[in-house]
Amino acid sequence: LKNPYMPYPVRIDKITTETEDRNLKTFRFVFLHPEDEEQFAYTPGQFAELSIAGKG
Amino acid sequence: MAEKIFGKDEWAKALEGLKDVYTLFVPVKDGDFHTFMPMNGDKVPDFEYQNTRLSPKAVIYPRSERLFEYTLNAADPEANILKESEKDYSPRAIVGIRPCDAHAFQIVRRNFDNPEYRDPWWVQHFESTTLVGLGCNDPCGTCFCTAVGGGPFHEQGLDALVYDLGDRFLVKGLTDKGEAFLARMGEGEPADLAAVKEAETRAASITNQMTASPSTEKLKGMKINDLFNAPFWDEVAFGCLNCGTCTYLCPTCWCFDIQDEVLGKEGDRIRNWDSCMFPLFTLHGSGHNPRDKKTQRVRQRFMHKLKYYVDKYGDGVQCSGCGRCVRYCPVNIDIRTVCERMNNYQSV
Repeated sequence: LKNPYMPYPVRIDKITTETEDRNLKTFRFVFLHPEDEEQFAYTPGQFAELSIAGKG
Repeated sequence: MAEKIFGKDEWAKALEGLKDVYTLFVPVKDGDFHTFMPMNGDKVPDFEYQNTRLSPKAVIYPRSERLFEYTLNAADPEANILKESEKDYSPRAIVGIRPCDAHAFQIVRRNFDNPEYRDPWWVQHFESTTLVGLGCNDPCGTCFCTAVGGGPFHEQGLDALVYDLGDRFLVKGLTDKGEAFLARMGEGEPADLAAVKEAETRAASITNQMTASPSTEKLKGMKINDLFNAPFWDEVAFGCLNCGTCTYLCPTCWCFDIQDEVLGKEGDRIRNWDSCMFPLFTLHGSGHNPRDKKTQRVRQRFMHKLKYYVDKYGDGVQCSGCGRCVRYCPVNIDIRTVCERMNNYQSV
């Protein structure tokens, strides 16, 4: 049975600071496994959840 | 499928003999109440009960369940990579489950097991579990299963159904799973026609004594916005303490939260039951909370069960009529009254 809760591991490739005052940043991720990138599909209205092991 | 008759002592002995094949969850007397527990040692079944305070929903959907494990030890090449936790999906049976609680699993199943989404843990726990129901000879005053598509001897969602005939049990297999369970029991006599007739007459008479209320037939045809904006929500929510008792006791509530817990360098990702009655349930990372007021949360609970679910699945309300929320709400909020108000509401 496919497990939709299994996270795809990614590496942070680049962090762009957008505005200093609001601490707004853009994170660019790279999939550790290229096959995960192919699997990663979404439809309008969906959002992705990011988690860091141990932090939530 | 053929019915079998067991003497009450014989039934208990036969269950004892199944412990090598199944983990058996049975109603055990626990102080003034009954609780479903694995049958073991002094944890012996007592089938003389109305219903348990908590439904056996946790057998399939645990209150707290470890999903993944990981290490934060940087020296480990697998550091920060989540691995699925091992699970025990060996055969289990809930013996003595009430028909409303079995019906509840069918209601919840539409959420956890559908063409768009299959929850791996719920589905596998459910598939490994056999539900052996016990018909209700003495429904509680707060029960309303017959108003929501069920009944005290309703077979939907059960693998086998037991009728208590006073000095003996009549057992009826309903699915292959239930038949396999009964076949493994080995004992019992084939039921004669008179016993089957007695069980049916008793079931019909008890079912007829239940007055079917509240009405739900108009809910589907109503506009969501009309009900959402109805003037009675402040009044319904007035006494609510947002304690969450209703959602934890409800066999058809399924909401959860996922959290990480770390001890030293080892971590677990855990799923816990959550409740729409709590403001933290909807608090966004941004600080915005779309349901920060009590009335909004109370409305959400009733609208979800009695309108959104009805519209989405088109097959009745998200309630099996067990009456636990009515019985244990500390301020006596009664879903039957709220349902009646929603069903009879006419917008101006």
